[in-house]
Amino acid sequence: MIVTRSWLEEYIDLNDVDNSRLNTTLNSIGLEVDSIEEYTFDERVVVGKIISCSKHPNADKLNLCEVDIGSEVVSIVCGAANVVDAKYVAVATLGAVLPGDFKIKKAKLRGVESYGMICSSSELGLPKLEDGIMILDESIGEMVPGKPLNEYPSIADTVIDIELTANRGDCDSIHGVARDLAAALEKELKPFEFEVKNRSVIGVARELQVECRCDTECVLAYSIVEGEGFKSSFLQRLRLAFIKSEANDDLERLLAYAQHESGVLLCAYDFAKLHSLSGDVVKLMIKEQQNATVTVECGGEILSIVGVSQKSDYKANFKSTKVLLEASYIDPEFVVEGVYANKLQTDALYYNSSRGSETAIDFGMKKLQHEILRVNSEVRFSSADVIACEYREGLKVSVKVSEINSIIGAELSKAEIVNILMRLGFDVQKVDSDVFAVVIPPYRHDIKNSHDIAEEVLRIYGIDNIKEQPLKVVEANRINDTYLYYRSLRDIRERAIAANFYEALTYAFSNKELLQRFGFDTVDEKLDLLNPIVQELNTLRTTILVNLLEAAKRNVNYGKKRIGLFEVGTIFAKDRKEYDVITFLLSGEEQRANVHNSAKAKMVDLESFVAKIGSVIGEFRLEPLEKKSGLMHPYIAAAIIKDGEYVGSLAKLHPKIADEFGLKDTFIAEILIEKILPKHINAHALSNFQAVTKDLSVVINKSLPFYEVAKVLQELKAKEAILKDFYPLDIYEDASLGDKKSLTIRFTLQSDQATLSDSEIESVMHRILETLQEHFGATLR
Amino acid sequence: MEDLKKKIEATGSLEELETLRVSIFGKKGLLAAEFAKLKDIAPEKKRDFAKELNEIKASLSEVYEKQKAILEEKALEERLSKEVIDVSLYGYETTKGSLHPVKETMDKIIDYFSALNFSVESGPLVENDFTNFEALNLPKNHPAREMQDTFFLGDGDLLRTHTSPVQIRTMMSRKPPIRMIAPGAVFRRDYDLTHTPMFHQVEGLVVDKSGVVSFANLKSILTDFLHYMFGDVKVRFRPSFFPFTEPSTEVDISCIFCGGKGCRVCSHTGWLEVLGSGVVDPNVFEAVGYKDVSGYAFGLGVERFAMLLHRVPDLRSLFEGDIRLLEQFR
Repeated sequence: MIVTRSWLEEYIDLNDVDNSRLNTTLNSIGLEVDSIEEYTFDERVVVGKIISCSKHPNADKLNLCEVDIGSEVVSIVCGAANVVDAKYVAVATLGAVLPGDFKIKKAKLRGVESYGMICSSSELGLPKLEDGIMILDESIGEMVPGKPLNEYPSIADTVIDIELTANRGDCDSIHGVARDLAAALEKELKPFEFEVKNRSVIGVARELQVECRCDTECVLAYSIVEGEGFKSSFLQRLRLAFIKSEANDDLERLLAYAQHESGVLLCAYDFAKLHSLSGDVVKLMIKEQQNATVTVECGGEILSIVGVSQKSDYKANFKSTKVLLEASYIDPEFVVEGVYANKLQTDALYYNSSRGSETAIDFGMKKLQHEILRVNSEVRFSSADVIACEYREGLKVSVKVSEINSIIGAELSKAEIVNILMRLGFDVQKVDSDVFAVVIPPYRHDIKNSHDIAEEVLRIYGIDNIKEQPLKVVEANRINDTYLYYRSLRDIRERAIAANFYEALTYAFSNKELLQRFGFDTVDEKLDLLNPIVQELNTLRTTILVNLLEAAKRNVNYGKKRIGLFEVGTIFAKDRKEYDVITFLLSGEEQRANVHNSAKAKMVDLESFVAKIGSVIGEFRLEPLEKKSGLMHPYIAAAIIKDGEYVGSLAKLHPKIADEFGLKDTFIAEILIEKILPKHINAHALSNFQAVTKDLSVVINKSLPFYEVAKVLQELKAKEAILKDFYPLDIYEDASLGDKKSLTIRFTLQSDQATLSDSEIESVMHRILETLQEHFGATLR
Repeated sequence: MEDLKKKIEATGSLEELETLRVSIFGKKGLLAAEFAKLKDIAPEKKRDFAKELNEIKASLSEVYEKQKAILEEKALEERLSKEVIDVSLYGYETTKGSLHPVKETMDKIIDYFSALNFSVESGPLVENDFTNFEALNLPKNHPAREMQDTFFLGDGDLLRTHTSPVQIRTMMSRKPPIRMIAPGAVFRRDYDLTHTPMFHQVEGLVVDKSGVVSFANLKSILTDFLHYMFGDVKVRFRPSFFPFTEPSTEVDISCIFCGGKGCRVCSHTGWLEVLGSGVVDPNVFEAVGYKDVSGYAFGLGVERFAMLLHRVPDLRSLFEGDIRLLEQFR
């Protein structure tokens, strides 16, 4: 909603309110000011009266004008074609400085001296009004040649853009904003008084009959206007430009102007066309349809849906000589429901009708007639206006002083509350005791209960006047599972950054085709996104890996050689179940070229990647992975096993994919968060006896993975009390071993009861060897 | 004797000193030879002779020990000096990453509210029409739904457009009093310079018995919270409109870029909008079956906070995994 200061001043006296206070007041009552623009002009930009205008002797497209600028008559060369129609113009006289630091000097144009410039609106920094120069008229005040433009308040105006919230349809007009301001500033609203004089003597009933069959609250007023086409004034066009109106037909401009000022929905029909539908007497039927719309019909033809749209076939335009004017109001909730239920196409006016347009339709109609007459004095209106349908009774709400105070947290007296409500146009009734009734003004359809009333009291009383009060709280333990989960995530993230990963944040979407190509599950078609924003994000992601790969690719493009990224986020299963995962990507250089590696960068490898993952998620084992995605190197991929459970996977990126994304050696991992959360631990007693390490080297098949050996040893460990730990110490292969390899395992042996004797040690080592022999045909090396 | 002392003190290495020690204190050394003379000394002089000799021995030993310590120290110094490293060559390889500024800002927000005894609650990303809209006083045809362009899913569910459904879920599963925040990702179908299809919110809700929680309480906590986040800024409350609160306010801070004088970032208003809040609308309580309660609620966009706090110029860069941005927060 855009207002201008001079336009507001037609309804409220702002003499003692400067722009800064106006800004503060509007914001404080909930009319958020998006921007304020003050238009001022150089004092040497003045009104000029064109005395004569002739063709430039040496140029076809130029005109030579004699212009009265008050102090003298000067010659000015003007290139605009429309100067021939102009009587009054804005002249930048010699020495004037226009926006963009453009200084006006005496100039010779094709051999003719020019003493100033006749300006277009854009040259003055105003919005564009028309092609060519800006033609002034008396609508902004008496045209006095030589009078600075700055002295015309409606052109040297302040334009304020207000961001209206959806509930404040009542402020969607100049009058509405002025009304709210008047309440806040404790001022009287100036009344709009206007009596239509140019009435026809012929009774309107001989031309127009309106019948109303409507239950919902919908009120319409009609008036017929006859003339010789319609014109608009400079002031109307200027203000419409300020408010960014798109109206470009003079009748449309008059309607837009009156609607913006009054807030009443206005439209116009070509009366001649209505005659053709229903004969000499135009019979209109206002009908509530079963689909929750109200239509205006004529001769069985629907002319418009009230508050929604008007059929273009019957619209009047500036050439129309006889026009039916319509002012209307319809219950916004009704209109919104109708549009929603029937998926109706809507006109611009739906913006106002759906938010609640002004209810005083007679005011809107009068305003329209007034604006038409200001420019088109020859027109004649029908003998009377025809009003169809009726208003509902205003809603009555009971107000409890103590309740209002407890909502806003203040101690206002009843008198203060009553005063505020009366200023806002509420009809306060039966003021006794703590409780009283108010009738809501018809234009405040958003107010229904005591909370709404409390908001009204709060915004006019002023939020700044409410004293802050900390809430007294009863202590309670509010550490819940969600909080603990969040704390764990935070620890995990902290460990990931300590392991040299940057935390990424990507959209919870992915590209379905890409996911499928890489062999990931995708969310079932029936459960997936219906209206993706772009094709690249057309599905709920089932992995974060693709997102990180794309991020890695961007980083390569930015010249990054070392890329370590992780993200903690949600992924979706096929059935759209949500899982939180932590996903890692490590690519390129582990260590850049430097003094310590003799200027040769160290690339990331499996060992360093695995070590990093370990420092984030704690101890784990790697086992062969059953189901490998297309992203994985087929021979360097593993299932991550923690406490005997599968928690995620880890792999080298498939070289083909790495090429596709422009990446060097890259490792990836994706791990389920719920499986790596810290577990409760009970300590066991410490042994007081020394531990012994023993190494055992055996020869086994080359293809036997260590995890098979480990599995068997793990089982043995459960039986052997003194076998505490083991890990692979060395692998040795050479030609002499053929298809075998030598594996050295280091064992930690310890007893909780006594120092181990040699025989005890030998005996357990023997059983270990026996087990390995039995399972893998291992021989001692 | 003085001669010997000087000899000891003149030794330059531990080896040299050892040779000298053997020659003085050894079995065949000078002292041993002197002591051997004892047997030829007259008995009456024996005592004095022995005494004198012992004193000499003690005095030489002292000099020896002193010199030994000096030489040992010298030897250590020599060894260590050979281990010299140009330490200034180190430290050019940082091995710490960084938290994402949005997540880190969220952590900071959670810290504040959990310190003020708020619980942390969460909910699913996929919500339904009731919890996301209907229960929040947003019936199907409500104009405010236009403000929230929604991602819909094949079965009629949707991606939550705000964290408010967590309020509804919490209230439906628990009795008042409630004191909670709900941080998390939300989704809107909007993609341009200042909008991303996913972003993060933190939602807050306090509910207690009727008449206990007021707008003045909300004003108090949010003012303090914004000072905690942004330091010494001015805080302004403006009446506004949200379907689920009444009265509703938007909260601004004085522009942290220009100090409130007006600049491009604050559109020359001197203020930056950072929060939406209000007293919970009775219709919301009715939808979850709460009776005789009062409450306030607020919600904020974490990206906006992060961008303001850390002067991040481009919203979309936050979702790119751009290390050039992230490494600044190391």
